[in-house]
Amino acid sequence: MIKRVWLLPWIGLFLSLPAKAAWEVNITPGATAISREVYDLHMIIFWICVAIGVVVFGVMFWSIFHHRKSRGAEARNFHENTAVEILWTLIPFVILIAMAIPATATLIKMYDNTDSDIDIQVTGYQWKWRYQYLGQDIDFFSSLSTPREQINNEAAKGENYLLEVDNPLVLPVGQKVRFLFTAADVIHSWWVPDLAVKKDAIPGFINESWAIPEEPGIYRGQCTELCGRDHGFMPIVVEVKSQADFDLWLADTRNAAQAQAAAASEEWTLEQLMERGEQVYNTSCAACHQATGQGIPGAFPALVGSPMVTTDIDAHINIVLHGKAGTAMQAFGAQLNAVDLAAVITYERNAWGNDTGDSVSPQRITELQQ
Amino acid sequence: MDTTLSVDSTEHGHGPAKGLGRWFFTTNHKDIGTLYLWFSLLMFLTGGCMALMIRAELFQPGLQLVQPEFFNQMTTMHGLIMVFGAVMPAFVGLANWMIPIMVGAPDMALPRMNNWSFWILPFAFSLMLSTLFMEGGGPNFGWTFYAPLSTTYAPPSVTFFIFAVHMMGFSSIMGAINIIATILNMRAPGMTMMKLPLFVWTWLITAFLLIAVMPVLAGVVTMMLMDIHFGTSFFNAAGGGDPVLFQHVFWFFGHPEVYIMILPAFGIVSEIIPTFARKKLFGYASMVYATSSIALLSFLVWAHHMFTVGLPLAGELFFMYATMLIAVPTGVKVFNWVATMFHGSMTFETPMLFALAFVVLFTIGGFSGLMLAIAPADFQYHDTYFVVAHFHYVLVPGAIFSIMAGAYYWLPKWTGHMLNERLGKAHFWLSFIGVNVTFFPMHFLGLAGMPRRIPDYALQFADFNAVASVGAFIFGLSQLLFVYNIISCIRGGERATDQVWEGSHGLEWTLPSPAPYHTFTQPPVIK
Amino acid sequence: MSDPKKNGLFKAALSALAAMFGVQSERNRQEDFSSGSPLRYLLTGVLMVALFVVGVILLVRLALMLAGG
Repeated sequence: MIKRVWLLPWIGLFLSLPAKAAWEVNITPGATAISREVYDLHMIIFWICVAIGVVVFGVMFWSIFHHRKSRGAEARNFHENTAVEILWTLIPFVILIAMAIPATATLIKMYDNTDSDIDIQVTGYQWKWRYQYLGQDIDFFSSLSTPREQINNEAAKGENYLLEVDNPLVLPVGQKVRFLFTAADVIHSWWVPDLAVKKDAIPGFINESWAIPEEPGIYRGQCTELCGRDHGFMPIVVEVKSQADFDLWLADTRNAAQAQAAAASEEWTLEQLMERGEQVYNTSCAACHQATGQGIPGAFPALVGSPMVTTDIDAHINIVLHGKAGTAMQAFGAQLNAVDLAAVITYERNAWGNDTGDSVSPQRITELQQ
Repeated sequence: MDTTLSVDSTEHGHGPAKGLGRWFFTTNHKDIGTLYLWFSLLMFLTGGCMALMIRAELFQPGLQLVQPEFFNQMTTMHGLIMVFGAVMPAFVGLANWMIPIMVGAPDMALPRMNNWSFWILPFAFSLMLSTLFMEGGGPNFGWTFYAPLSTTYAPPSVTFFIFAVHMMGFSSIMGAINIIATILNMRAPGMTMMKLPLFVWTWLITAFLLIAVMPVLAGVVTMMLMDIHFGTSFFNAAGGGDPVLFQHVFWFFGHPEVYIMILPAFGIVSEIIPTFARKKLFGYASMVYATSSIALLSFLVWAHHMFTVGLPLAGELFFMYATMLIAVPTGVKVFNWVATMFHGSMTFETPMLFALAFVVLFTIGGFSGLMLAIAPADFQYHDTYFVVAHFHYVLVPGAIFSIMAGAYYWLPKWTGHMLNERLGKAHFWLSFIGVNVTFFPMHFLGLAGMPRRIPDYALQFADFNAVASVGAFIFGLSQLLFVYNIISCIRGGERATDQVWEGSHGLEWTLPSPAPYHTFTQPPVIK
Repeated sequence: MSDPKKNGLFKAALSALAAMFGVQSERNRQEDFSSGSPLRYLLTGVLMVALFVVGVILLVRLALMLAGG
């Protein structure tokens, strides 16, 4: 058994080899004009370092080889030469000043957030991203979609293991997209290498950045600021579409939101709620409270046999909707729709032997939220 | 250097006390130096085991050995222990042993305080390590403990972590005061500032830096304590505070801290290379001047650790320019070491091998530092494995190799026995290979897009991670050779001469090997 | 430069500059270290660092101005 678990990731890796350059050693030139400039800066400074390194290490190894006692080298008695020292300080100085000029030019461009076509607010949550298209009536969360079984080595890993989400950020090609970054709890950092955008998402503050993606495609990134337990499990996927496809996506997404609202007024059976609740639980709750509902002692409370979950239904709904201040328990009322909220609360009250038989209807949630 | 030693100086003093009391109550700088060094070795091995746990988990994708919350505790503790428990105490230990001997003083200026500043440390680190067994686990927010992850969202044990940091701060400040007082007041007649060995010079500057920044660290953890327990909102945006303020204050401590961990290393290497090149250090004056200017300039570049927090453009440019300008004068000191070797008469004993590896690998760390200074490019490097590679190159083959070089260099003076060269060389080559196999691929990982501090990763990072993990175990296990070599050198071996190394110069080499319990009770005469 | 005190200040400033550049000759170092009080050097050093900060700020201003910011 142990042997097989050991093999699985390698099988997954082997399968993914044709698609990926697994021995990638350099940054990507990316998909925007800015990312290519950054790539060029990176290569220039890299070659400068290589050149200096060749000279310094060259002299050093030449000395090590020739000026060794075993070859009969006698130590010469010089230990100062101010002119030489000034020279070897000035040369790197001049090189670096020359380097500062293009770096400054690129930086100034990167800071020019004006004249955007689309504004998207990106909010970091523990451990997912929220994308709000300002003025477009589009607002959704994006969380990791890699199944837990793959992470726990119980299933073969997919090609985009840990770099796949349920709802990617969708952008139109050739438009200037301005991102406004903030966070709901701790500091996160939004990084998509192909766009050369990395900016911290800080609670209480708004940071800006922008990109003009040039090619349709899928670009993947990750959170780069340690943000707690599942810092490694909140990837970013950006899907760049042609303008026509993007408009289609806009319409679809708006329709889907309306369908969700309609679903909230339908009647749901306990079984339907349980089924849906399990999915919601696994994406939104299992990271802390665990798939078994046992939590992590001292860090995240257990839901199995918890008095709140088994008896006090109002308190249970309240904490799911509004969170608990000063803890990692978030206000899910803003994150999930009424059906999902009702489903997940129902699921928690009936799973893992809690068996209360309680069923919370979406209507009840909708009323509470008004 | 011509010195007259009072041969009967030891007869009037008394030897070490008997039993364990010797170590608890000692005020002897050599005993305290030894305590510091053993403590640091213990912490190095402890932090190393944590690193190996991290590397074992990262050997392949998926979660195999530890859960993410424990992984985060390991990365945090590994960083804290290596910085505050291994590197800093090791340098203080070397300073305790060598500085009084190098300046011709009978002991440190404040011997009782010296005892106190050491004995705080075991308590501080016991407190910190005990948090791992507390409910909710130990600190899990990274060694940089950014708020609000380390305040509002921290496990309850963070309070113990804060007190542990306070205690380390006391210890460091007292140690620094002691070193400054010794260097400025206890020099033997004729040992002018101009004649101070470079190790003493670099430590003098380091000590001033310590006194300047440890209170800043104490301040920032106290603000955290207030936020957690007393309802303030220094770092809590919901209460009108500023999470970025934390980073500014932390790095105002943190950047000079980088120099605290590398200046004494410069000093050690500047002692060792001339000895084995049989040639005086090239540009001693430049070295002293550059080192002393660092004491001020290192306070001007802290925000280059924060290029992605959304500094205004002008701020970004300021810290980029300042970093680039300051990097050059300190970086080119590598040229001085190379010029010292040039037309020397070199031999390659173990200390020299470590010193040479220091020069090469520290320079590589410097190069990646230069790349990180370019703000627009830093957006692609920041918080990736590229940064992990960078600071491990500066700290492992930088600070730690210099400590090992220093230990091998002065061990014969401490123990009276030559070390086992063969074993020393084996240790060197295994460490050298291990370090590079571990940390060089991390450059690639970072550039290819792997963020730091993640317990699991996408499949395209698998190969280099596996390589790095193998390297880490080579490096880790080869340290057992180091421990064995030290112990066998204490137990016995070829008797060391007073001068120990053919090319060594300086007061410490005029003393007998092993150095007697009390030295320079009569000040030496320096011409 | 006949006034020895003025001369001294100028020399101290030069030495502080040399320290920041990272290169100093052995002869100047001998002179510096035999000139008695280090206080003058410390003060000029702090002053030079302040000037360095002002200098970099001006450089930033210049860069932003050239970029039309």
